[in-house]
Amino acid sequence: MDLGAAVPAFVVAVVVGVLFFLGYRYYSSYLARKVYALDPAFVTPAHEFNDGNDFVPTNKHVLFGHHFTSVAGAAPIVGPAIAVFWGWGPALTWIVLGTIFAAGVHDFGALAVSVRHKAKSIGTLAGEVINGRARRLFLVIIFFLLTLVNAVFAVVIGNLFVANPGAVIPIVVEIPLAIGLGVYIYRTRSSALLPSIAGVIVLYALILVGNAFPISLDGLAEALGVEQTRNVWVVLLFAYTWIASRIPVWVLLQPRDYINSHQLFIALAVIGLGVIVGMNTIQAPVVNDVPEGSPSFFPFLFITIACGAISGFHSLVSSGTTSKQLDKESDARYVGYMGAVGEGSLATGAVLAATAGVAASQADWDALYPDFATASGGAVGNFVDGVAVFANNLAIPLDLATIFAAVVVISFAATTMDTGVRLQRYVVQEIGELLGVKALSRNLTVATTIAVVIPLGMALIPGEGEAGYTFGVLWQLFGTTNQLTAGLALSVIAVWITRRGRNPLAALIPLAFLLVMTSWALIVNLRNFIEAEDWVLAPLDALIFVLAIWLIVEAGLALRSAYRERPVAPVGGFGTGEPDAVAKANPEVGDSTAGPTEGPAGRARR
Amino acid sequence: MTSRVVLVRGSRAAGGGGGCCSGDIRPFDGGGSHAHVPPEDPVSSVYRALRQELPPDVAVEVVSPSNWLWLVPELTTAGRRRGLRGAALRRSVRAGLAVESLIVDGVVLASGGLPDPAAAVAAVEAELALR
Repeated sequence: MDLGAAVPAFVVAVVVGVLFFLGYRYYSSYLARKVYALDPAFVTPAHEFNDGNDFVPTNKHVLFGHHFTSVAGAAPIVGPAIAVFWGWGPALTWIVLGTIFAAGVHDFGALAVSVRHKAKSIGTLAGEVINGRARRLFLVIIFFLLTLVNAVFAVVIGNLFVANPGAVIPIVVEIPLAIGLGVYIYRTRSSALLPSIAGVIVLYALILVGNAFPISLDGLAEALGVEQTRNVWVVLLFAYTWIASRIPVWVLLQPRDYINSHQLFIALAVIGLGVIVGMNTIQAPVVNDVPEGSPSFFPFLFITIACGAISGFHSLVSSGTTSKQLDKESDARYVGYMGAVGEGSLATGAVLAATAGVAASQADWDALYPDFATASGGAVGNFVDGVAVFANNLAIPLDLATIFAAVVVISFAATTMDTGVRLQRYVVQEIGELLGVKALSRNLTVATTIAVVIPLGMALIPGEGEAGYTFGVLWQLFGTTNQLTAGLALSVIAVWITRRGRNPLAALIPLAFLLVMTSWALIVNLRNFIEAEDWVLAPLDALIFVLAIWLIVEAGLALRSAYRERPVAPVGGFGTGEPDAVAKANPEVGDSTAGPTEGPAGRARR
Repeated sequence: MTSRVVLVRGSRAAGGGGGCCSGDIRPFDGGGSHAHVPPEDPVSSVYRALRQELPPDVAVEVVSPSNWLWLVPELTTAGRRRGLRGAALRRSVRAGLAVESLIVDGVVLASGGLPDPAAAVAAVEAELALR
């Protein structure tokens, strides 16, 4: 369906912005009042356990900044840039509906449940609200999620280094630059603002150097007998993350975050201004007539775009750190729901870059998205080229603008890998604890090595050529595990809502939708892998399918049990609740579910 | 809310980072032999003392030093309200942005290092008493 050629990207952005506003204004208000029954007088864990360190009542605007920067990253760029293969209409529709009716419910709900359970993390909550098996299920799902996160981002960075050799010098020099910044702040204890702005200026000045001296590892790959240069980069990246994930956060990760925070705003400004100044129009079909044999957009669109429509990872942030700092329970609406809206906005920007920026005509666009393998292999490159065109609208030379966009994406992806390996190490240690294997739970070297080697293996799976690779299916498996994480979090939320005697449909509908789509996609992919005799991805897919079935069974059992236990009247809302009913439904939870207490923001219990 | 006290976290405070889908967070609480305890931030003890001693209508905020989007307008607006302009305002904003800073309604009482909790409480109370 070719209706897109005349639509200015700017108009699409405005329409999406209006829909997001309406979602926040009305649907999140409904969730706050009728579903989660937020009580501004409830004593949040930030007050109850206030230690000034982990638990700190925090201004909601401050907390939103922390929450948003913890959830916004490279993932909402990659999925949408692939998914426009089915046309920008389905991609944007899923982003908008997913953000409003799934991600908002999920991110906001995880925060609300955690706050009512002493700000416990979603893994612990799965065990408390559902049962001990759900906690183990969460552990396995999150293990696969992080494995695939690290694998796909290694491939993304490797591909970008191969396609943009001018980005190598800026990205490599960014590491000592960030370390220098960290040491400077630590020694002088001064403001990081000006030094980090200087760091960004140096980084972008290095784009000129990188452009003059592009670094390619083609020769090294040839000498080593490695068929694809990307794989050399992948090995180097994992060697780097093995080291980076073990050094203290303040040495590299935190100062690079300072630089990245400027880059995020610069990139958003470039995209926004570039779209307005250039008035680029979308050069892609609304619904693409995909070649025969391509994956159909039902169900694959819904797992290709995970982050940007709904991401299970957000439940870890909502429950892991944000819930410990929530000043008033009612702030959960602004912080949680708006975090989802922010992520959806990033995904919308990715769709516009991959449809309006990257191609001057629909024929150009068709050449970039001829089939799914090419579309998925080149998606991030298309996003980079699209952003470069927007930057070019602002009079930045196209070759430098391309490196600039690549540097921004790689910076975020590298930070995701650094922290992803670190987080995977925690999960490996948790598994070691569960299995009683001390070498896993206590030995950092062993745990880190496992956290690195498994995704490294996944990233090096032989593909069908540089562009094709198996990146698209690897990405889909990542999306599937992310959706399963969201499914588990939504199950916890739905059970909690039901036990409070409230209508759980707002959580059940996205939960059912996600479980159907992920199971459907897993079955189709499993058949494809078996037919292709892919004996690496087929067992992995089968294993994730077993996890999906396990999740469906656990969610069904927990919901049935919660439905039987539900109180006759709704509880815990607006100071009129019946805390005993909640306590009865959650006997192990303790005081923080005790419901409303005196005074706004719970100051009486400080 | 009559006054706002802002504490800027130290340089070793845990950061977010990572974005979707990873970050410096803990997926589980507690943990056994592998418990990942967050680094102790110097603002903790000062925060606890301030919160304990100050009346409830005085807000005490703990802010990351990288949260410039919130800190810069806060410091600039408060500085201008106190009549600061030009270089004096720039110096004040820069001092307030430093790690381990203590700010009362835009007045930077400590920058680059916090006094001990009792001294911090005394300094804040003295500043508030001036109003």
